Amino acid sequence: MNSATVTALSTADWAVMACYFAFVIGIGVVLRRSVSSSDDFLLSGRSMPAWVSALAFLSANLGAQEVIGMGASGAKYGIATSHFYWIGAVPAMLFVGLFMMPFYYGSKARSVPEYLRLRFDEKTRGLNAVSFAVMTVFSSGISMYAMGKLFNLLLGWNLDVAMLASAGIVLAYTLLGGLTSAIYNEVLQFFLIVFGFAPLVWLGLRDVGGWSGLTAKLQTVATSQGFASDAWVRSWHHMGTAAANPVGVEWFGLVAGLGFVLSFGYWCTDFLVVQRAMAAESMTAARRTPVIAAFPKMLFPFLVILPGMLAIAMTASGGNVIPPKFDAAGKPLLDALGRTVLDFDLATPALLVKYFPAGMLGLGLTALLASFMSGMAGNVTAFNTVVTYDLYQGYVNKTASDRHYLNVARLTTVIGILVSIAAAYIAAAFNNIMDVLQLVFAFVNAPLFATFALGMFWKRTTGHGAFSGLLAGTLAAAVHHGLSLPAGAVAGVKGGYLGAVVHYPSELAQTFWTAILAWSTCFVVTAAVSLMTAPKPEAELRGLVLGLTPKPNDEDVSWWQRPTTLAIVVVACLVGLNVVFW
Amino acid sequence: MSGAAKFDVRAPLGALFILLGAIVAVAGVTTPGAHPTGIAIATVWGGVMIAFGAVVSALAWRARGR
Repeated sequence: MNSATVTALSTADWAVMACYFAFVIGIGVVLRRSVSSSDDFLLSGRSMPAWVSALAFLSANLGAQEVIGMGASGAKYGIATSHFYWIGAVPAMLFVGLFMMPFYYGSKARSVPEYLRLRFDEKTRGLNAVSFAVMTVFSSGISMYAMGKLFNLLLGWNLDVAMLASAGIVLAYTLLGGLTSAIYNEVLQFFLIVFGFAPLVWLGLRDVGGWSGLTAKLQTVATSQGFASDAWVRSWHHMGTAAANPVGVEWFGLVAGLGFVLSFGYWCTDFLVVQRAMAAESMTAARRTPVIAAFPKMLFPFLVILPGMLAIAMTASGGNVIPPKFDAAGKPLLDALGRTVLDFDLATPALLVKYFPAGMLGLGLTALLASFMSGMAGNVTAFNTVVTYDLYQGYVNKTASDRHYLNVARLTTVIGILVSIAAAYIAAAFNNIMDVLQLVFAFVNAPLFATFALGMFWKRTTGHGAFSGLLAGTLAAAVHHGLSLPAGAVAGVKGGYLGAVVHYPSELAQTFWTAILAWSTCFVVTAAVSLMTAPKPEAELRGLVLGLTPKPNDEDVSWWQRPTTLAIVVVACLVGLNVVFW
Repeated sequence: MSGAAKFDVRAPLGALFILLGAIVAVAGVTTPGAHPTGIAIATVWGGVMIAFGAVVSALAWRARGR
């Protein structure tokens, strides 16, 4: 899809987009009156029902990159992409709800870095707060650039206008209504994404002859790349060796790297998502938040991965749905074997354009915009809380009035959006710099879960142990990455900058093993240093660590609504899905 | 209860879906050649969205009456 094939929108498409924008800003305007303290603005007054915080928990993570990226991965890897949900998200969501939320919510900490200060010490909080704040705004900027580029390519929109307008809308509703506004809009965005993509999957499946028709068409895709004919429709069967499946990872690297280290590191420690659960109205609601969110999360592969699988199946059958990538001169790119390189990021958008008539196309594109905006609002509302409470109140001005902190929070929201815009332009100008930044973020994130797991479940863990473990884990990630290289890559941002000693079959395999090593190093160093240093007195650890925290009592809801019951149902469904698509 | 908790998100959610559903359905009925798949997808899906919006609005209205 080059500039000659941009899609024109009808009046109905524009009307759908305009209505959506009017509603998101309207929600901010209505909620403006309910914001009278920094707690209201940054923590939503801890007043959210579980189902609202659960949908926000899910949507805050649903950036445009996820919707587009998972569609692209569906085309590249097939149903194995579902591992990012069924192994790489749902188990960690259940764990944070059942086992970690009592500490986060019960400690009355206002943020994840603040929990680290209460549990460990100031330096561990500072390290986490600074790295998180920088990562959130830069991630937001990278996502903004990706969204602008997509709409530029698809609809011919001016890149600057697309980025600035969407940033302006997010700024308007987060500045007006704070976290509550972001959460309420995330609920709207969740349903828009579902209603925007569900008919796409239905129409696509109907066109290819249902699941059996899709399976038959994907055989050509698999065999043309040297894999077994069912490699695109089976999630576990070919995971015995990395070479046998399109993901290029074997089962142990997948389970330990993605399913444990990366997944638990993100869902259990990232304030962006944990903040939504911490905004819930009670401890039970906070614990139910990630568990309820696990239900739709489990089904999302059918909404975001299937379009990519459908697009590649149709392309392989001569449908030319996924357009080629073009070089700077506007010519289609070719790989080493002379085959056309497809632009997988356009798999889902191209399918939208193919199937959706006037009005529906506006709905689908609004769903894409909504996914971007919910991700950006999630980043900005987490950024302003950490900067206001953990950095400004923690280190700059500890004793100001609440009104003062509310003003700082509003100012920080504007700064967060402005830095995101700057990051988007940096991404546009220097693609490599953003790759390097994302790599550094990965190094910082990989060891985090070891620190939290030890801190919450072993009272002997000390602040010195946690801090040195985090630094050692990050260093181990950087060293391993520098000594390893995925197949087909050259030394540089992809690794090997310290000498390529280890070779991996794919970039994902390298990422998973980097994470495993970082986590293990952090775990060992934290435990060792903790044993050599003095722990906090038990009186200071009440409510923060297992054994010194009262067991949560869920009797305020019926037995079938309790987190444990819901989690058992999720696990049963999860096992069923893995068996069906084994 | 905070001001935020008094504002039921189902109210704007229901209204938005009724409005968007109406736009999509009307586009399906009035746009020539709007059925590339052979079925009136915009009309059907617009109706589904209106029904969803109506159910959500009813839930919000019932909660307000309690």
